[in-house]
Amino acid sequence: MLPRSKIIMLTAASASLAMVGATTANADNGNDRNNNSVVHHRDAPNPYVAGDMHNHNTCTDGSVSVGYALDRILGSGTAAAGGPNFDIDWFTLGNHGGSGNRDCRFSDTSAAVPGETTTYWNNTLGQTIDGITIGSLKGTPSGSGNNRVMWRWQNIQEIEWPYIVRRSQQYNKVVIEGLEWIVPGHEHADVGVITGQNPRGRHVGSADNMAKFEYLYDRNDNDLIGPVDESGNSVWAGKISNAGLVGDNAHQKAVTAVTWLQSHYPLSSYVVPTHSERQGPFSSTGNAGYNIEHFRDLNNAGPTVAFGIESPGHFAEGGVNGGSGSYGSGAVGGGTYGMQGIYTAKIGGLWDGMLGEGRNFFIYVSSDWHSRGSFGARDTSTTADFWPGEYTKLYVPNSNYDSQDGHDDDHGGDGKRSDKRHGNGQGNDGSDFESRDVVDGMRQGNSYSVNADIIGPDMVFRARGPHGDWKTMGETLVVDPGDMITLEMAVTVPTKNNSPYGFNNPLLEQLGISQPLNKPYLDHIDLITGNITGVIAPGAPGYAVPNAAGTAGEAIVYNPSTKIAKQVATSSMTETRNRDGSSRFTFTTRMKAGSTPFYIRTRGTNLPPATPNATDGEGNPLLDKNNVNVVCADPACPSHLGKVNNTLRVTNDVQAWSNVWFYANPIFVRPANQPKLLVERNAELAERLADRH
Amino acid sequence: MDGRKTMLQFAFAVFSGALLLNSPAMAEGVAEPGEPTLEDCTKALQDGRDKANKISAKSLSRYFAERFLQNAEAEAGNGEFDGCLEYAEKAIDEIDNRWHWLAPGETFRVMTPTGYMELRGDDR
Repeated sequence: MLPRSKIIMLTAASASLAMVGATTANADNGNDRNNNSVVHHRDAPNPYVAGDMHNHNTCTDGSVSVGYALDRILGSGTAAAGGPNFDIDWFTLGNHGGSGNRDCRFSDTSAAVPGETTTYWNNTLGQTIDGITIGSLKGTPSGSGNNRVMWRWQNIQEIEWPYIVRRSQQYNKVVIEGLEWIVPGHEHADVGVITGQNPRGRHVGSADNMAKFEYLYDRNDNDLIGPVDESGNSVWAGKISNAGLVGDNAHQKAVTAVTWLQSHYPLSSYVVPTHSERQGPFSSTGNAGYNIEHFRDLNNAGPTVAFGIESPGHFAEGGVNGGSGSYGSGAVGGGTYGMQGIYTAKIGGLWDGMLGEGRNFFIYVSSDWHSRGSFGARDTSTTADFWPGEYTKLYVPNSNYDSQDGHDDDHGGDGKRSDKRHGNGQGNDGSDFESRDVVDGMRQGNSYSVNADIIGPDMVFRARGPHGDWKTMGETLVVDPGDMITLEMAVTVPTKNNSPYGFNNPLLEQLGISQPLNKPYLDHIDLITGNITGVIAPGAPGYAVPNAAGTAGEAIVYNPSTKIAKQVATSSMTETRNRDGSSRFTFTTRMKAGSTPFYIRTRGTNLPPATPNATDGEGNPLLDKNNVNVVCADPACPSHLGKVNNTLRVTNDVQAWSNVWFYANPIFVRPANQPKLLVERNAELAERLADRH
Repeated sequence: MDGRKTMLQFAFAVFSGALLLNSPAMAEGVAEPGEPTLEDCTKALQDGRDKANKISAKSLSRYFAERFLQNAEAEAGNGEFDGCLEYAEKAIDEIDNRWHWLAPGETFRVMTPTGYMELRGDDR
C-alpha cells in the first residue's frame, strides 16, 4: 500500500510558473514503466549506490598505502588492525597526476598503521613486495636519494592497477582507476577513462588509457619520455610540454585534453573540476582557479565528457580561522558554505549560471581523502579528511534495482541507459552494476550528493506533466504552457551515521534542539528554480564573467532568476517509520507550466533557517567560518577542537558532523513550443554515439 | 603507558620524516614566475620546524604543528609546492597562536602502531 503524500504548494516558483490551488489528492503513482515509486522496500536493492571518485594514498600526497586504503574503503566490519571499514558500493581511485617519491605499497609513519613506516622508491627498487616488482623508475629521471620520483603514468600502470584488479575481485565491487588531474592553467579536476579497465573480467585489461591521459595532459607531469618500445622510442606521441604554459595558453591545453577525451572516449570518460574555488579566480599569468567561461569552454569541447563540477572534500579541516574544504580566505567566496564551495552553494551562483543556459552541468561530491590530520588512519576522530564512504557519498543509479521489487529499472528515465551496452563491461559475477554505470549515472545527471548520511540511497525526485512519464534528475520534462506539473519527492533519513560523537549538535543547541551528532536529522528541503534563457555563444556578452577572490566572490550573481521556490519542512511531509527505525519522508507539489524553460533542483539540511552562525533567514548556508563562534560546551566535546577565549569551538570533524547538507541535480522543464535545451541535445548526442559504437 | 615518553618517541618518528626535503634534486617542476618552488617549500618547512622546536614537546600545539609540517612534506613529495607552503603556514600559525592546548583534566589521545599516545593538560 502506498503512503499518502501530502500535497504541498510550490508558492514562489519561477516567473514561468503559476500558483494553483492546493489539493488533498494523492499523487498518481501511475503504472508506466518509468514509475520509480516513492515507496522503497527496505529489504530490496537500493535504487542508488554510493561511491567516491576523489581520494589519495602514498603514491601521491596521501597517508596510507594503496592496498590498505582499498581494504578500509571496500571492506565491511572492522579492519584487522583496528578501525572501521566503510563498505562503499563503488570506488574510483582518483589520485593526483605528476609524480611521487614514496613507495605506496607502504603507509606513511604518520598513519600509525602497525608494521608500516614511510618508504621511498629509492629504498625498494628491484624488490618484490605484494607480488609487484619495480625494477626501475621510468621516463625522465627526476630527483635523487629519497626524493627520486616515479612518474604517475608508471605508477598507474604498475602499482595502482594491480591492486585494483586484486581488490575488485576480492570484494566483488566496481573499482576504477581514475585521476585527480592537475589541470593546465587551472585548479584540479577528477578524470576517469574506463575504456580498457576490466578488473573483474576474464581478461582484466589495463589502465593504460588513464595513464596515457595523465602523461599527455597533467600539469605536474613533466616527463617527456613516457613508456618506450623495444627500440627505446616513446610510444605515446603528442605531449605538449608544460614549460612556459600559463593563463590562457595553459587553458587551451586543458581544452585540447578534453577534446581528446571527447574524440576517443566520449561515453567512457569524464572531466569534473574539483574544489574549483580554492585557489581563487583564474589567473592570466599563472595556474589557478576557474571562471565560468572556462567551465563553458570545457563543456563545449566535451559535451558528453565535461559535464559537471565537484564540491570540496577535506570537510574536517575547518579550524578557528576557517579552512573547511581546505578553503582559505583567498578562495572564491572566502571559504565553504554548508561544506560546499560558493559556486554551488549560492542561489543564482555559478552553477545556476550554467544551468540557466540549459547546459548538462551537474554537481558531485567526494571525500578528497588524504589523512586524518592530527590523528592516525585508524582513529575515529579527524582534523582533516574523512575516509571515502565515511562522510560523503556520491549516489548513482543501481542497475541491480529492478521492477521485480515493484519498482522501475530506469529510475524515472526515458531509455537513456540504452548506451550502457556500448560501454566497457567488467562484471562476470551476475552483478549488473559495472563501471560504465558509474559514468553513465554521472553523465546523465541522475545522481545526488550526501554528507553525513542525512538521507539514504533511495531518494526519489521526479516530475511529470498531465501526460507521459516521470522525469528525474538530469532529464527534461516537455509540457505545454498551462499544463499542470506534479513534482514528487521522497527521502529516507537513516537511524545513524559514522560520527563517533553522541553528544548533541552544538549548532542546533543554539535553537534548543537536542540532536545527537551520530543520528541524522533532516530539518527541511529546498526546491530551487531558475529560468533557462539559452546558451551563450563564446565571446558573446555574458559568456565571460569577472570573478573575484574572497568574500567579494560571494556577491557575484550569474542567474538572477534563481530562487528558493519552496521550502518544505519535514514536519509538513508524510512520515513513514521503517522497521529499522529510519523514517521515509514524502511530499508532492504541483505547479503550472509557463512559457519559459526552467529547472528545479533540490537540497536539504539539518539546519533550520536563521540558525545563528550557520544559516540566513531564508535558509541559505553562511560562510562556514562563522561556526567557530559557537562553543562546543558538552563535556564530551573532544580536546582537538580549536579554542577561542578558553572554550572549545565548533571546528574540525565536529563542525562537519554539525553542518550537514545534501544536494541533488536538476530536473529540466521545457514548454513544447521552445527549442530543445542543450542538456537534451547532448543526451541525444550520447545516444547517437552509443548507437554508433 | 608513559604518555610523555611515548609521545616524544612518536613525535620523533613522525617528525624525522619531515627532514628529508634537503636535497635540491626534487622532482623537476616547471615552476612559472610567482609560483612556489621546492626552495620556497624547504625554507618554509625549516621555519616551521624552528618555531615548533621552541615550545614544549608536551604542547598540543607543537603536536598539531608537526603534523601540519608532515602534510607539507607530503605535498612537496607530490610536487605540490603551493600545498606545501599552505601547510607550513598553518604550522607557524598554530605555534604563534596556540589554537590547541589542554586545560587541566583534558586529555588528547591518538593511536600509535602499538597502542596510543596521550597528552594531558595543562600544557600551556
